[in-house]
Amino acid sequence: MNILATTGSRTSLTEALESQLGDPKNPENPLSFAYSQKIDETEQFPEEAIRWLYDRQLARHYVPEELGGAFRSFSELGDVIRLLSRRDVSSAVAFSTLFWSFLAWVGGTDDQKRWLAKYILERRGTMCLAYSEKQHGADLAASDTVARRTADGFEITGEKWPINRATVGGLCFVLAATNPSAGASGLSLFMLDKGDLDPNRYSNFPKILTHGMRGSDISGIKFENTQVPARSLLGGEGGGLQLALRGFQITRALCAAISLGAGDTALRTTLDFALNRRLYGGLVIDLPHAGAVLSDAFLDLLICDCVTTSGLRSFHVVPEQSSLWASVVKYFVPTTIETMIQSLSVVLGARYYMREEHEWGTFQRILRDAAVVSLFDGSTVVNLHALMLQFRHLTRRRAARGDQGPRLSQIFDRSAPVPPWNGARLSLVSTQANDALEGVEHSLKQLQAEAAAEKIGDRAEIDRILAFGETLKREIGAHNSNFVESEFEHGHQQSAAMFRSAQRYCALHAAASCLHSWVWNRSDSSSFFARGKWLAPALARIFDKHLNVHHDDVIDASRPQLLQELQRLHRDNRMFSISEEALGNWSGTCNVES
Amino acid sequence: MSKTRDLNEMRAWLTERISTALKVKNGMDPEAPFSKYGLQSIDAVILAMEIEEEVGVELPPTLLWEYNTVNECASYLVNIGSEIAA
Repeated sequence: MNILATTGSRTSLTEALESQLGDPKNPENPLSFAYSQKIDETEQFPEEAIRWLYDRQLARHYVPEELGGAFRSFSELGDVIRLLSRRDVSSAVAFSTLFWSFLAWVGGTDDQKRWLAKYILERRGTMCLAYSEKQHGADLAASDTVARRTADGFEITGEKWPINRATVGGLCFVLAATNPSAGASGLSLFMLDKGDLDPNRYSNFPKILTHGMRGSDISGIKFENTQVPARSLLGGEGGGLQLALRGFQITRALCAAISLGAGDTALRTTLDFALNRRLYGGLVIDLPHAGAVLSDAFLDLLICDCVTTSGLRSFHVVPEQSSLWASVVKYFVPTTIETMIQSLSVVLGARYYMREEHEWGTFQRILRDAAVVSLFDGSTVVNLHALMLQFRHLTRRRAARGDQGPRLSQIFDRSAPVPPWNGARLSLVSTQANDALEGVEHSLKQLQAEAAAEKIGDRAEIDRILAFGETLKREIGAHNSNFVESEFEHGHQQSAAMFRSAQRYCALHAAASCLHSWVWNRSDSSSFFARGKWLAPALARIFDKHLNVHHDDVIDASRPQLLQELQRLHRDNRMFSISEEALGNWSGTCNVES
Repeated sequence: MSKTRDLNEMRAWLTERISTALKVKNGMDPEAPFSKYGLQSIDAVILAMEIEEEVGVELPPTLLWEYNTVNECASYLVNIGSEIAA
């Protein structure tokens, strides 16, 4: 069955896909935890899982509708990636290398786009991103791989390593110097179909043994005077770095969906344990420390969901700001969830360390697998660096921010449709101030006005949120004051203080995203998220961890409600998220190992 | 603005502008790539945006990638100014 034909809304897409996949605790199901354990232990590439996903036409989600696919929005695509990742990070990552196709959707000619769509949809095409080199890591401009012009196209020589799916894949996006003396403007991007290449002129490096994602094909590729056709040049000669950097903006935000899926399962498997394990005469979940760890983890997931969901929606509304939103999302979400998973390990105790026993050793595998997200596709340091360079320039653009109301509404109101995505509007650096931060004042005013007009019942809660909002506004103001008269920042020798400022900036953006997400989604009073009891503790948690502002009382007082909601979502088989998506209607559920 | 500057004036202005931004202490070689003074990729785009505001002419964001020495960039800026004047 084609899942896509039956789905309309985000929630039904999630539920339809989950229903097809079935209970991950049933070893008979595709992408089950038992399967995940098997490919991890045997270090085998997840061939069966990938085949299943292509059989169900999931690849269509990566191809724009006008090219025959089903891609409509980044939030939908993020939902697909999150769901796959909650079952098996290795399979999700191996399948999601399809998101490199956005390089062609952004920078390709019409012919190239049509060819790639057909390649994915009809030939089950798979791909890798071949940028990194052993000697240069993330320093893309220093590439030693060279592409020389020939009569028929180009001749490429160089080595790319480490590359995910360099071996088990048919297409390579390769960054190479077409004019080695021209620096950043001398790089070009190629979309190489291995089928076009002389097999004697390229070879693969062996699979690398890794800490997590042990089933993955993380290897490399070597080109030796490899002839490639002229049609493989993507985005024009000399335009490679520009296209590569714009492509990263898309994929970096989507990476957060991998972390969200992993975080959901880490919390769910821990909760399964805490709700069944008896210690000291009661259940583990009733031990105050365990309850605190679980409720903190739930808050972290809600915070990260606000950051990710709005970040993905922002691509449709303010692509001019994507360089900011993508870097914030890619820094904040993976690092928060990786820390969250590590914190959860204390609740599982010894079982956290076991590669079997409790739910097929899922927890330790997720812990190892999810750690890759803050590393790949632009590491934590790379993203913080990309932000700090823009601080002075952003403070100077604040005056031109205009009426933010309509933009905030489109970004944060999840019931509002997003405009079609336009990749041509992506900018190397933001040409606008950050709407999440600069819009805090607007959302606070709106909340004040609504509170006054509606005479909201829980006025004390609103006042508490407004007080947090005022603190947030002050902190944002302090950040802007620090940088409005600062010196021009350049290069890679940035101070530790600059990195701290960038980390704080991401925390401010996260807090602002939580505030906006609630202000613009308050109408459904039946929803836990809309009722807003999570928001003050979420802001308190961000302030506590990142801004050295402490409100332990707010967090402690919220724990019983958070734990109650967490258990409800668990009982009802719903995602631990702001939309509480149903995780499928399973029949014949089989829990062989628990 | 830029259209009123001749090539020598533009070179002098650009040298001063970029050496201040990059904190270059001992003078800039007008034929040396900006990367020699620590300018990388993203920061070069931001500096190009600042220069755009100052010269009042629309510039490509990759200006300092494509014209990556003082002499090349000054020539480009003067030519752009000439086109606008015409």
